[in-house]
Amino acid sequence: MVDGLTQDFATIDGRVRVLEHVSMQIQKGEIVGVVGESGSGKTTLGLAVIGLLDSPPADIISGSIVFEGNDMLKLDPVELSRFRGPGIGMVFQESLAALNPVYKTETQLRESIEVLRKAQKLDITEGAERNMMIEILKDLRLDKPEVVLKKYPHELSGGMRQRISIAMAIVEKPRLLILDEVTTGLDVYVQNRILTMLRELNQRTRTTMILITHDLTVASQICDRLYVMYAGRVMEEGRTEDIVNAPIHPYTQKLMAAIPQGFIEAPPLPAPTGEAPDLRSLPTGCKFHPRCPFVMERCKENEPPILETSDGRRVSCWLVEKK
Amino acid sequence: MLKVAQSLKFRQLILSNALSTLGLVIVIISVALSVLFALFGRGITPYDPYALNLQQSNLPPSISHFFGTDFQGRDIFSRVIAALPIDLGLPIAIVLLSSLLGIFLGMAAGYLGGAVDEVVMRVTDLFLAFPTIIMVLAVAATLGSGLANATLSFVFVWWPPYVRLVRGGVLEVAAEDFIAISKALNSSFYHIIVKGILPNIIPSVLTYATLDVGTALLEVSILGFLGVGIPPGTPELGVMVGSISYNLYNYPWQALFPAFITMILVVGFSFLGEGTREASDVKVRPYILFKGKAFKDKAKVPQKERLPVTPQGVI
Amino acid sequence: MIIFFISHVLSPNPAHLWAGPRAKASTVIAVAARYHLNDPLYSQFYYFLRDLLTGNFGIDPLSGQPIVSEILFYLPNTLELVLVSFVVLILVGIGLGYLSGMRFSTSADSVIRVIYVVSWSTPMYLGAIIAILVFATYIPIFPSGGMYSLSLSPVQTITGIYLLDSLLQLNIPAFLSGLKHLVLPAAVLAFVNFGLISRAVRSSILNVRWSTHVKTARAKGLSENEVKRKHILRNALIDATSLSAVMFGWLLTGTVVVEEMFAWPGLGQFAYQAIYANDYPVLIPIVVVFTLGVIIANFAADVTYSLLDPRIAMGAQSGAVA
Repeated sequence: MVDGLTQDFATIDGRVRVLEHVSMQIQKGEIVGVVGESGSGKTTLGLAVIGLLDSPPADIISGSIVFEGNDMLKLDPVELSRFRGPGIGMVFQESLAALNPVYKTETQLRESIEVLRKAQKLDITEGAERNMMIEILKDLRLDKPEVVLKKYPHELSGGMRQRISIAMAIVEKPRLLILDEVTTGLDVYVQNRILTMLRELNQRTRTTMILITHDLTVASQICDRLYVMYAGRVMEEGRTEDIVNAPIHPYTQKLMAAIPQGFIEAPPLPAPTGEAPDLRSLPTGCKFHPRCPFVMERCKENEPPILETSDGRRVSCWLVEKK
Repeated sequence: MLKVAQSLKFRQLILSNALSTLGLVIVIISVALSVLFALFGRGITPYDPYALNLQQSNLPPSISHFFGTDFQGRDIFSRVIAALPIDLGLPIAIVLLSSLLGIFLGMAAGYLGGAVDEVVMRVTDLFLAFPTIIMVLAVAATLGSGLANATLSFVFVWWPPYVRLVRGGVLEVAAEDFIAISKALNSSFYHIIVKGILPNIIPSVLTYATLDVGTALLEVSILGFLGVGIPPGTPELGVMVGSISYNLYNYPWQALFPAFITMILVVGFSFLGEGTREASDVKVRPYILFKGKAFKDKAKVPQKERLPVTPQGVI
Repeated sequence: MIIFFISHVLSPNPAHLWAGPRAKASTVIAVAARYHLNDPLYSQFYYFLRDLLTGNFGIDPLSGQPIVSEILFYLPNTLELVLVSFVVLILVGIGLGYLSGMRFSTSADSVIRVIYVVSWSTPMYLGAIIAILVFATYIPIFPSGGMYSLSLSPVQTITGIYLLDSLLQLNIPAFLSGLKHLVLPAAVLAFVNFGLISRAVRSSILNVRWSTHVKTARAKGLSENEVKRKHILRNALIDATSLSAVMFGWLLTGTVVVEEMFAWPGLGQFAYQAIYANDYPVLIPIVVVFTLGVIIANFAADVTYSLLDPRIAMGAQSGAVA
């Protein structure tokens, strides 16, 4: 659970507020999606949960992150590192950067297995290790795993690298898995395979997952609940069906409207007006108001807190208050 | 895109580091002194750096002779000041010429590519194999001694690193989108190169060149020390050390002062160069700024009314 | 490889040409005839190559000895000095660079940076002078010159490297003496050069320590030490290692000054005296030897780089497997 997390980042232009009062509750076994454009703060949120924010330049000002009863922000680095791996795992966005370029795949996978071994005090022989590696690569539908194991990261395609990153995280059987844009830049076919595999994993092992993406379609495919983020704040949260079928927040509505519905005779897609805000110079009041078709005077001055509608939906918008 | 807007912050960044400010100061002072000397000569030194005064030779440092006198009675302090234009001028000339040559060749190789690239790089690799010693011989044997000749023989071996640097930079920049856009818009050749590519490689060349002046200075002084290329009587920091190297134990100051000044000069350029390098490195910048006081003041969290949310099944 | 040969062949050539006109200025016609200096250029070159490949460098006009044997005599001494300096330089350079990189922006970092800048800014002769004055004259701990004490019984030459020979013969007093004499020159040579390595290591570490693959490693749950060792250090050292190989070449050329100041009987001192005496027939082979050393060092640098960084050797193979 993330509560009221507020975090700044030091840039050349001074302090920039990257996250503000972000709260999330996540049930065990859920797949939660965090959706937003670049700059919405979603990656930073992910890094914060696993405790991998580099402390200069990032600075967490207030809030807490509680995992399995522990306030992560209060732990010292050594204790924190014990949670990583078998506790919380993370897969990063740029797969080429995420893998160490000088080690072969098999070496890097073996590292993960070693962590598992130490954590659970298992005894795994070399042969067993190799089998584990091949098994997991097969699960991820990689052809010729034996060949892949011997290759270096730069010799593999993006899709394969991404799956290897996922493999490294999964092998350690994490209780919480954070996936940051793992489908971006991949062709749809591979995307699909990865998402399907993730859902299977979730159903099989009840691994809790946080899926961070900018693509609503991806999120809607496997997530149980969604959090929509904009300019470092949560704009809307709720069950996926609810949000997709009846988005309440104007921003969510725009995101939904921009999704192509297929080759039907439809009018041209409404492109959202304006651009994602520059975090260094945010507008006053509700951060979305310059682009909002329903903007009211109140929106320009006061930022709406998370309000609950009569049917239990939670949105950060003044429109909801009226209902 | 073009990093012109960064130049203001650039200066701020360089000065934020105490060491590089020191470097800047050293460089400015020494350049100023050498310019003054070049203009006014004896006017600014306590004694004539060239006048022989055998009765006053080998005096230890004193109030009247800050650094003492050398074996021919010349005041060392004055000679050090006299040496500045040479010990700064030569390296700066070397670096200037080498960098210009390097920029020209590097841009040709990087931008034009193909056969030009191959040829330029092979020649560059060839010249990279020359150790300084070769150049030493080149000076002595071919051209005879003299400062201009010395400069030329340095440049002969000095230019290859610039070609590599520039070529690498050009390759990086040329791959960027804004170049493709310019080409699509049919901008002139000149326009692309001068306005597009050049400003983006200048920072890295500048950094390297600053540090390189220091290195060149060292090499020049070593040549002077060995007595090669630079005529023996010249006031040059290396020569001054070399001329006393056999009688060190009796008159150590005659060597120590010039040598230390050399070191200080190189240190000055090095600090400045390091500061420039850090300021240009985008990744490192936030860390430099993070230390500033302005940063700490604004860490306030705005009050916000929140609906109490009951935590449900927590992980 | 081609480059190796081209540069090897061409580089001594200009030197040879230069020796031509200069020596002609002298009136020793017999010498000119001896060295074929009056012949057309291409035949000079031919003789040069032939002599080079057969190891015949001619006779040293000053000492009357065959130059080859002189070079062979001095070379091991220089190697001894350079090797020891090299080891010290690497250890100190990498160590300090690592500390500085990992403790970025702390006072330790600043201190180390000052140290390494001073290191490479110091002219070699200054380092030598200070070392001699401080440690040999005013506080006489180490001897100020020579390679070993002359009062000891001579050691048989097996490898030519004094330390090894004395050790091999279990001649401990000689070994210790050699060691004592080695300390100062090696220290000076190492001190003046380690700065560059430190800076390279520091900058590599700064580039690597915040990168995504390090985050991945931490995300896997590896202990901080492991992360440092296997991911940060290992990746940062690629650049540093190949720079060290190049440094070896620099050390070789640096011996000219250091050996002279410490009266260390090596190739550098030999070269210095040849320069001083304008002894060209000697200088040219020496130049060849030094250039060869530098070329080998640069070559080793390229090789180690491609060995350590798998991305380099396999430039052609960046395609996907499936």
